[in-house]
Formats: sequence, structure tokens, C-alpha cells
Amino acid sequence: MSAPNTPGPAAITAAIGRPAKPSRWPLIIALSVLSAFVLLLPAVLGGYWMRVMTVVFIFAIMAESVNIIAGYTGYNALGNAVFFGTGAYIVGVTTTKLHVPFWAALLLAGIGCVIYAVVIGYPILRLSGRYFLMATLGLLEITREIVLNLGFTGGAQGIATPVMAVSPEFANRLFYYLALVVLVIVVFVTWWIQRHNMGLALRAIKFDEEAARAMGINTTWYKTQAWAVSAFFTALAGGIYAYFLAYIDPASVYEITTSVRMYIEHVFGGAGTVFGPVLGASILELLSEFVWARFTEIHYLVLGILVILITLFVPKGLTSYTRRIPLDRYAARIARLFRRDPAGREESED
Amino acid sequence: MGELLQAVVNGLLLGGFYAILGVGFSLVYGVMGIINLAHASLVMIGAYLTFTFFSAWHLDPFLSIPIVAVILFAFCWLIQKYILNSLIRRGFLGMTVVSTFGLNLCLINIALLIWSANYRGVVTSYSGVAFDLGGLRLPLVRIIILVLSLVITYFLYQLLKRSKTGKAIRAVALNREAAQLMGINVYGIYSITFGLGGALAGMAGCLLSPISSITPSMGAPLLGIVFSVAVLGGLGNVNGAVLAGIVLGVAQTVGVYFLGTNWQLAISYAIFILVLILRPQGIMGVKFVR
Repeated sequence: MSAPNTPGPAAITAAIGRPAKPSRWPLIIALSVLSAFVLLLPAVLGGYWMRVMTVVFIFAIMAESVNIIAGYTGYNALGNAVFFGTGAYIVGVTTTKLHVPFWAALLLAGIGCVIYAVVIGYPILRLSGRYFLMATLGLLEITREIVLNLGFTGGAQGIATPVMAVSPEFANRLFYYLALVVLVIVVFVTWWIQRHNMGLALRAIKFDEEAARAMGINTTWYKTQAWAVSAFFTALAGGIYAYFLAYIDPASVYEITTSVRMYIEHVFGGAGTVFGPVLGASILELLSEFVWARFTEIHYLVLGILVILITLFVPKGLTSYTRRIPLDRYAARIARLFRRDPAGREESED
Repeated sequence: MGELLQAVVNGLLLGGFYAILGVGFSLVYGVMGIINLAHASLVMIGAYLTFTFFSAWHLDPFLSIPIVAVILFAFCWLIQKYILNSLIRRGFLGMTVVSTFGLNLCLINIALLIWSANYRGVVTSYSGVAFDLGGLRLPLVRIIILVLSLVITYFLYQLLKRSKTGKAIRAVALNREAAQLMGINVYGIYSITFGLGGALAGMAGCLLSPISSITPSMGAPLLGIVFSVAVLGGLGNVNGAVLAGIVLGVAQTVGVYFLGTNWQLAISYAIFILVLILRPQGIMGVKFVR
């Protein structure tokens, strides 16, 4: 029982006003500038940089996919490149051996990897996170070995995917926009998941899995769903990559380095945020491109040191710093510039 | 039938080596929860150091074991003290796996710069010697490797069981807070544990050098065996690691006998994943040396 003179919650709200809602302006402005930029970029970029940007998008898709299972759910799928490779191989095999059109093959790759993730994920996602991490690495290796030894995959020689009968410039633009569209979709799906029950369930699992289970959340099923979504988009990235590069072999698509690259990118940008992984992938891939070009001999060394430095100094991700910047205040100032009514001027005087 | 028996014997001989390959990883994982992705590359560095001592001073690969162990202990001790401990202190234990992957990349690149990508090997005067036992071939080098592996794991077991440091390591593994309250310097113990893990990896590298070609990328195929031994034997469980190594060695050689050498890696990973699904606590069912 509270004392009779204690003000109720309604009275408190009336006295201090509603808690300020964070302004959406910074996000909207940033996103529209960014989308205009990436849409118009092909007009000025040459063929080489178009291809670099396509790889950046492909890695951003994968980093965002890892984010769904690792960033939100806390299950560090360090071997997620298994879906990249399998997606690439489904596209490679179906287009060359069965002459399926590319678009259908891409969809098949996504569906195939979802099935793979559910079948494998349901038993191994009952394990605790650390065992799951090792299991995904094991899955990556074993899948590569199987693909290497199956007859129809071409073994260690790999597969040359069909080259589209269009000009190279057009093909470059096609893959650029295709990767961009998939990236936008995966970002949107992540945003949707975050805002709905599934996101709540996933974060509950990350925070305290026992408690989440006690609250009636079917944790294994939610984790499997998250991994399946992750697998779907990683497979699309792999499928695009297979056609984009026109050649795949087991050693290059089932690579643990690719796997850890997408993982570290999502951490660097900000695990468990919608835009962090995209930011992380963009910065690290462009940086890696630069390192690759300048330090061919010590590429791994520079990359390795970079990875260690990131874990030491930015373990929470870049987006953890943006929260400290008073973006709302800047946005309000910018918004005022566009406002004509005198109320705005009055506001700016105090 | 004779070939199958030979496969089983080869597996038994290999098993001891597998045990020592996995036990360092298992110890590090069991005590600190660090998944050391650089473990296999530390094995590679150990093998290269052995090769260097052998080609420079004609030092027998098995005599270089203590030197390599000391060097890798010091190196890993420093890594843990200055990099990994700082992450654990701030509560980012999950990030250590990424750090060790970065370390892995660095080690591979450094090996490439120092020793180049050429295949190296250690060929001793007794490399070709083999005993014949009723039709079974028992190469001398492999027998020495098995015996030394068992000796090293026995010493490790005694170290963990009897010495003060070993008791402290076990205490930290069982309950970090309680160990701290008993006056144990937890982070000091962490550094020693990671150093021990590195030393064991280095010794595995010494043992591997006479029977395998040495390249900067030789670590990658070993990682599956390392995982399998750790999970099969139970984390941090030294006896379990020996048993797991032998089981894995026999399963692999017999599997290769039936399926062919192409499937060798797939077999070790398949065992690993099956154990994870069916019996994640390992064959012994004990988490740590008691």
C-alpha cells in the first residue's frame, strides 16, 4: 500500500512530460542520402570498383545474416560460410547440369540451405553456444569434404558457371544491383525481426536462455528459425557470388577465412543492431581491398593484426559509439532550418 | 583381413599423437572457455622450429621437444597475458575466439615469410626402420611418437593432479570466484594454462615433424582432429583425451580402409559432430580432471 499523498504514475507523467521519443530524422536523412549515393554510384564507377562494391555488398549480406543468429540470439555461428558454399554449389550445379535459369537456381539455393539449416540446426542448436560454434566449424569442413568427393560437383576442379550473354558492363551493373537488392531485403528482414515477437524471443535467449525457456519460449525452435533465415540470405550471397565470379571450387567457397570475415564484420559494426553489420562489412571490405593491393606478401599478417586490434579496442562494435553522439540534437537543428513557422524560432531561443 | 589389422595397428600408433594434439586445446577450453583457433598453427610453428633446429644443428627432432615447449610456452604466456586476459577482464570472453583466429592468420603469414611455402621435412637416420611382427609393419618412428605422447600426457596428468600450480588450474576451472577467494591469482593461472596449451601444441608439432611434410597451411586439416579429441575426451580431461585420441585414430584408419583416403578428414569431422549431437559430455562423461 502506498501513502495517500504519493502521486500516481499519471500525475508524474503530467508533471515531467512524456519521455522524449528519439527523433527518427537522423536515420531518415542518412538513409535517403545513402540510398541515393549507392543507386547513382554505378554512373561514376569503373568496372573494377563496381566489382569491388559488389563484393562489399555480398559480404554485407553475409554479415547481416550472421548478425541474426550471432548478434541477436548469441549463438556464434562461426562456420556460417557453409551456406555460402552450399548456396554457390547449388547454383553452380543446377545451372550447369540441369540448365535451370539463374533466378530459379538462386531461389533453390536459398530453399536448399534453409532445409539444411533446419535439419542440422534442430539437433545441434540444443547444445550450448560454445559447442554450437565448434559444430558449425565442423559442419563447414565436413560439407567441403563431401562436396570435394561427390562426382557431380566436379570435385577439386570446381565448376565454371555459365557466363551471361550480355556485355561485361551490363553484367557488372546487374550483379551490383542484384546484390544491393538482396542487401536491402536482408536489412529490412532484420529490422522486422527486431521489432516483432521473434526478435524479443531471440534477445531473451541471448540474455538468459534458461529464463526464456521458463517463460514458455520454445528456444530450440526460435534458434533454428533464426539460423534458417541466416542460412537463406547467406545462400543467396553465395549464389550471386558463384555467377558473379563464374567459377567456384570447394577450397575457395567453403573457406573458414570467409566465415570469420563475415563474423568479425558484424562484430566490428555492432552485433545485434540493424545497420551495424552493413557498416562493419563496408569498412572492413574496402580496407581489406586496400591492404590486398598494397601488401600482397603480408596480407594475412596485416589482416590478422587488424582482427586482434578490433577485438581489443572495438569489442562492442562501432555503433556503440554512435549512441554517444547527440544525433537527435543535430537532427532537430537541421529540421529547424526547414521549418518556417515562428514556433520553431521561439524554440531555438531558449 | 591382414590389411584391416594393419589399419587398426596404425590407428593405435596414431592415437597417442592425436591425444597430445588435442589435449592442449582441451585444457585451454576447459579452464578458460577459450576456443583457440590458433592451436593447429601453433603445432605448425612447433614443427617448423624442430625443422630449423634439425637443419641448423642436426638436433634430433625428439630432443628438440623441451626447447620448442619452452619457446611456445613463453609465446603463448605473453599472448594470454597481454591480449586475451584483457578481453576476459572486460567480459568479452566470446571475442577471444576471434582474436585467436587473428593470431592464426598472423602465424601462417609469419611462417610463410620465414620458411616460404616450400614443403619441408625432417628425415632422420632411423626414419626407414620398421619392425615386422607376424606380417604387421611397426615403423620405429611411430612407436617412439606413441611412447613419447603417452609419457608427456602422463607428466601433464601428474602436473595437474599433484603440483600446486596444477591444483590451482583445476580449482580455477571448477569455480573461478571460489578460487579467487582462496587467494589464487586467476589471471596468472590463465596465462600459465594458455602457455601450457601452447607448449603441448609445440610438442605435438615436434612429434609430427618426422612423419609429415611441413607447410604453413598444414594446420588446417589438424583442427578437426583437435576438436574431435577435445569433445570426445571431455574438456580438460587428460585421460579422456588419450582414450579419445586412440578411438579417433582407429576410427579414422579403419574408415579410410573402407572408404578411401579421400574421406579421411570427413571421418574425423563426422565423428566430432556425431559425438556433439549424441553425447556432448564426451566418452568419459567427466568434465575435468578430479
